[in-house]
This record gives sequence, structure tokens and C-alpha cells, in this order.
Amino acid sequence: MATEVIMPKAGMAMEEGTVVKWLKKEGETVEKGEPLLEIITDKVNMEIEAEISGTLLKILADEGEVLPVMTVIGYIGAPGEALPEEKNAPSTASETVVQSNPEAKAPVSGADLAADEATTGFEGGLRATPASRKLAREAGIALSRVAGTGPKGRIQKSDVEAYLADEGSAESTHVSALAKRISDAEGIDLSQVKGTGHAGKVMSRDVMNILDGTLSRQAEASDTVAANDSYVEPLSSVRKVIAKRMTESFFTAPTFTLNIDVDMTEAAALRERVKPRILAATGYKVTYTDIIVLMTAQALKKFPAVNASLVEGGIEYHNRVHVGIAVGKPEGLVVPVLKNADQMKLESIVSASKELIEKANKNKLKPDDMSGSTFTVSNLGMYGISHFNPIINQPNSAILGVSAIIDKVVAVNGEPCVRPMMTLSLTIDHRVVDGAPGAAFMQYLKQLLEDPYGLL
Amino acid sequence: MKEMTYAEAIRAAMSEEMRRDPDVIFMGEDIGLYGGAFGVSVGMFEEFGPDRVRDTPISEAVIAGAAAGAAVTGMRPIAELMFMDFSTIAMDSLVNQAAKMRYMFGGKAKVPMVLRCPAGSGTGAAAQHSQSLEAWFCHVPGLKVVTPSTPADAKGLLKAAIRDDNPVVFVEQKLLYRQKGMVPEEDDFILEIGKADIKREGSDVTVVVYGRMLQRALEAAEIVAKEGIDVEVVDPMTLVPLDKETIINSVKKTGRAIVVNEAVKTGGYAGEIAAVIAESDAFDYLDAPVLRLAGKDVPIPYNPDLEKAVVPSVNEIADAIRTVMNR
Repeated sequence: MATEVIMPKAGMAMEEGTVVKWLKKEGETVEKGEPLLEIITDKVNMEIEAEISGTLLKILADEGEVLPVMTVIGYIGAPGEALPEEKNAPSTASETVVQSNPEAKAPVSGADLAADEATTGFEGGLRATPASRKLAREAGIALSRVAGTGPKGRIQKSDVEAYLADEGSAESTHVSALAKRISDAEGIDLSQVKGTGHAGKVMSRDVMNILDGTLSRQAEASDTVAANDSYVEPLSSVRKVIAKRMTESFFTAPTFTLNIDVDMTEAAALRERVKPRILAATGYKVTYTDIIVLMTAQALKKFPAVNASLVEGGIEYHNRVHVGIAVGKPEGLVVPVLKNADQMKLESIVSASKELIEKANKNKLKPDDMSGSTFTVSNLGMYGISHFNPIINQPNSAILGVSAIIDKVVAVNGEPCVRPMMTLSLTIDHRVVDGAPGAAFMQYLKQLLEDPYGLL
Repeated sequence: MKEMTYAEAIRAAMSEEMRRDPDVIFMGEDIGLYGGAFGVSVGMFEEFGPDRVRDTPISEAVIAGAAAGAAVTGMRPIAELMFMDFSTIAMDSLVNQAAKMRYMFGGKAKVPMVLRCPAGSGTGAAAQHSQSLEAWFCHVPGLKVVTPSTPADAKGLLKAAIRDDNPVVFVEQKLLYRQKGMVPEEDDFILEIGKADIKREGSDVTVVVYGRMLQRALEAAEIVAKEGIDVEVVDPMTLVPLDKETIINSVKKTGRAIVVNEAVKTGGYAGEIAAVIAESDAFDYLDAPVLRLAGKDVPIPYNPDLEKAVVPSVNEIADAIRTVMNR
């Protein structure tokens, strides 16, 4: 019996994933635990390992395809082994059964229904609840066009309802799910695309044909200008996610940034004082980021407005403080989340954040490690940056930018004095927080860092 | 309305009917002077005397036989089996005599008897004193089977059972005896046999449940309500004749059904209710398989932890609800 490869549910919030790349081809052998393919969720890129050893018999999901979790995307088994009949009816299923008779869309006849159902689904038909069958019958649509989201890909009544709603919005154009996603992403007007699928359904290949034409024209144009002055690297999946989220945040939130200079003399002394003890206890060196996260978490407890999210119907004030820590990697930025940071002692913050950063560097972060932040800290101090305006990590209402600690001459009691100074920059979503409370938060955070014993 | 326990409601129903109709008599083991093994009949011996409240020998065969005989000759006996488990010994009189007479005598005989059967686990009484055997009686045409789950239901249905001209097996759950509830005090408070009650209205899932599982189903409904699942709880109250219409209409509304009972799953009445739903016109409305949640297929263990584990818990009911909602 061939074993299913499924789109995993890699986190509580994960509903769908994109197949980025298959690392094995059909017919290749895989060992248990060997990376099989790469997927991306809305938060993270990850490799899926083979659960058993065998031959990759069949790949059911194309690269770039977005599928609900638990969808069967391939099979592993013995060479030549017969595959079970397809259990799911995801977007691909409807594509595999189309005949190339591009006739105008006509109401589906009973024969169509029968033909459609006979060619897809599990043994003896299609896995669908009685309620979904009744609705499909009444609406005159073939169930094979509907992607099931129930257990084992079962089509639920809600799936048929969603299909009908989609169909209405797409002005009755038949479009495969994949084709729709590609055209949405590339801004192609579907009404201009001639469908070659069953009953004129627009398939992904139709959209790709149009897209290829456009791209090759663009390529020709650019070729004539400059052949070798630059090169285009296709957006990686991580970059795409970053681009999307940052754009959304930047263009939806009216922001402003508050900068404040902090004298880090006492914080530095504190760090030196606790360093050996924390190193002995955790095996990690305490960093300034750790101390800043500790103080920030405490300050957030006192200023709930900064630890909030704009949600539909109001502002959600979080009772818990989950601090996201921005970690830069060559492929792009990730933000693992330190949960309940306000409940943690410095020692716990050190060990928990180091573990998260190690995971980030080894690409081992799970979506759950990266969800639920209520506030984010971004430190660029190691590059000597003096101040910057970070972009808010939505749905947070604010983000703290941490710059370098630089020895500067400052006036202390009227005398010039060299002190280790650091600038903190708080970018605020003005829809949620006004200037005064944001400034008060920064003032308090400055106080905590300049007089850490005040916390005692 | 007056707050009383399930046991008090049963006593009230019997006493009211005995005051109203001199033909109503009550018999069973230790129900007289002692007031019943569970204290249900305390004070009745004093009120009605030894002729109408009769202690019997420890013989369920005698109890059921005497009740059937008295009923067919004009009395309206209420007979109590101390434990439903010992209905095994009463079976012949009940199944081959009481249930058959009206049919075999072409309607000339009637058998207006009530057999009260304390049933169910949860009292630490082990395998021979804890069973829920209602499915056996549901399988015998000629018997009515009633399973009240609240004090008010117990009173209204027992009065209806006493007034009914057919043999009624009245299943009481021992663990419900101390449960309190508001009960109408009127003499004419009667609940129709064969009528289900919607104990909680909802739109997402129908839970059909009777006996002490009702309370658990209601608790589970409150838990999943916080997750946005709106549960309808239907209590059939009478298993035979079953109010199919109410159940089917509810499932047509919600599209999902779970049947819960304490009795063991295999061959249990939950299966019958599930089948009624599946073969009805509610079929086309089903958006999930019909689930049964019932006792494990084992004798009730004496170990208190195991005893709790073999019957459906609030969490198991909540989980089943999430399962049919694909959550």
C-alpha cells in the first residue's frame, strides 16, 4: 500500500501551504527522514521529510501550487506499486480530468455530472457528504469541480457553498483554483483568457501562456538596452512573504517614530555583573538585546496601549506580552517570538531567545515559534547604526528599533563626560497609539535601562 | 412549581396517582417499611398501608409475574425492581406474558403495569448492579420504554405511565435520584409518552441524548459554545414509541447528529436512533457521519476510576461534537 505524502499542518494557524520545490523526482528513491520537498506557509519556509523509505511514485502537486493542509500531494511506495485512487479533489484533481473540448459554458448535464464523478474521487465515486451532494444537485454543478476540505478531502456542504460564491464572483467564468491564484498574483484579467479546459474552463496552462508571452516581450525589450549590467533573481518565497507583509503594514498603518537617547552605563554594568552567572547557568552570554527585551517586556505591562492590535471592531489589548525578535538571515528576515516575556527572568530570556535564534539560523523554526507576537524588537546596533525607522510587524501596534551603543560626549551635571549612549526608536501605529502615551512608554523604558535596579 | 429531587418527584407521582385511583398499587423489595433501597418510597407505607404498598419476597420473577397478573385482572400495579440488572429474572413474565397479552387476546386484555427499574453505573455497585439494559426492552413489541432525565420529566412521565393501559418499563437512573429541579405540583401535570423534548436549541449539531448523559451533553454544549459551535440537545424521553419527527427535524436543521447514551455501544439503542436518522429524509441534510457515543463494551468495573472511564464523559462528548464539525 503506497503511503500518502500530505501537505502538513505545521502550526495551529496553518491552513494552507505552497509547494515551493520538489527535491525528488517521480521514480527516485527516498530514505526515511530525507528531505522530500520544500513548502512555504504564510510564515516560514520548511523542508518536508519523507516519512518512510521507498520510491516517490507520484507527485500530485505542482511547484507553486497552494493547497489546504492535509491534502495528499504525493505517494511513496514500492516501485511499480499501484496507486490508490485519488482521495482528494483539490484544485489539481479537476485539472487532471479535463478533456480538451473548449465549448462555451453550458449548464452541466446529468451525463457530465456522471462522467466527472466517475473520473475523480475515491473508490466508487467522490467523497462527499449527503448535504453537499444535495446542494450540488440542486445547483446543477459537478462535485468534481469542488475542492473538499473535510476529513480525507471529503466535500462538505460549506465547500459547495464556497464554490458557488466563487463562481458568482468570477462572473461565471470557469477557472481552476491554480489558474485563479496565478492570475490574481500576476494581475491578469481572466475574462481575456481563453480557456482550454473542460467546458472552456481556464486552466493554469492558459494563464501561463499569456504570462510567458508578456514576460518574453519584456525580456526582449530589456535585452536591447543592457545585456550584462544587472541580473534579476526571482523572488524567493521568503522574500515574497516579506514584501507582501511589509507593504501591507507600510501602506495601511499611519506611523511615526519616536527616538530617545539612553545612557547605557548602568545597563552595561549590570550586564558585566550577571554575565558569568548566566553563562554558568545557561551556557549563553547575556546580550544587550536580552536586557532590552527584559526591560521592554516590563514596560509593556505598564503601557498596554503599546502592547495592542487593531482588530475588526476595536483595539485588542493583550494581557500577555509576547515579544517578537527580528533576526536577519541571508535569505531574509524572520521574527521568532518570545512568549510571555514579561513573566521571564533575565536568565530565561537569555536561554529562550538564544534557542530561538539558533533555530532561526538552522531553518528549524516552526510556524508556532513565529506567531502570536504582541510587540517586536529589532536590533541593528551590531552594524553601528545610530538610528532608524523600523516598519511595524502587523498586527502589532508598535516596534522598537535598537541602535548601536556609541561612546559620546554628553553633559553630566554640567560637565562634559563620555558615556555609552544608545538610541531607541519606537515606530507607532497612530491608529492605535497617540504620541503622548508612546513617548511616556519610551521615557519609562529609558528610566528602566538607566536605572535597572529601579525594577527591584 | 417546587424544587424537588428526582427521587421525590417519582414519589410524588406515585402518591398522587394512588390518591386519585384506588386501583393503583405499589410493590417491590423493601419498598414498604424500609422506604426503598434508594429512599424513593419513604412515607408511602405509612400513608397507603400494607395492602397498597406491598413488600415482596426477593424474587423478581414473583414481582413481574404478580404485577402482570394484577394488571390483567383490573389493578394498575407499579412494580419496582431494586436493580434493573435483575430484570433478567423477570423477563418471562414481562416479555412472554405482559408484552403479548393485548395482541394475543385480540385487544380484549390490557396490561396497565409499570415496571420501575433503577439503572446505570456511577455508584460503585460493580458489574451486576450497574447496567443500562433498556435496549432489551425496546426490542420487544408491546412494551413501552421511558427514560426520564430530569425531576420534572420523571414526575410527568411516571404519571402518564401509570395511566397508560400498556406495560411500561420506566428506567430511572440511580445517579439522578439526588438531582434537583423545579417540578410542577399540579395533579394533572402529565407528560405525553412518545414525545421528545428539545433541551437546548442550536443550529450546528444535534446531540440526541437521554438519561444522566443529558446533563453531560448540556455541559459539553456550553464548552463548545465558547468555540462558536451551537449545539441542539434533543432528549427523546421515551425510547418506545420514539418521537422520530422531532429528532429528524432537528437533524434536518443542523445537518449533523451525535447520539449519546450510557448503555454499551454494541446493540445499544443509540444505534437504533442513528439508523432512524440515516434512513429518514434527514439523510440528504447530513454533512457528517452520524456518530454514536456510548458505554464501552465491557461489564461495569468496580474500580472507581475505570467505572468513570467506561461511560462517555463531558470532554468526550465535546470532542465528538468537534469531530463532526471537522474542528
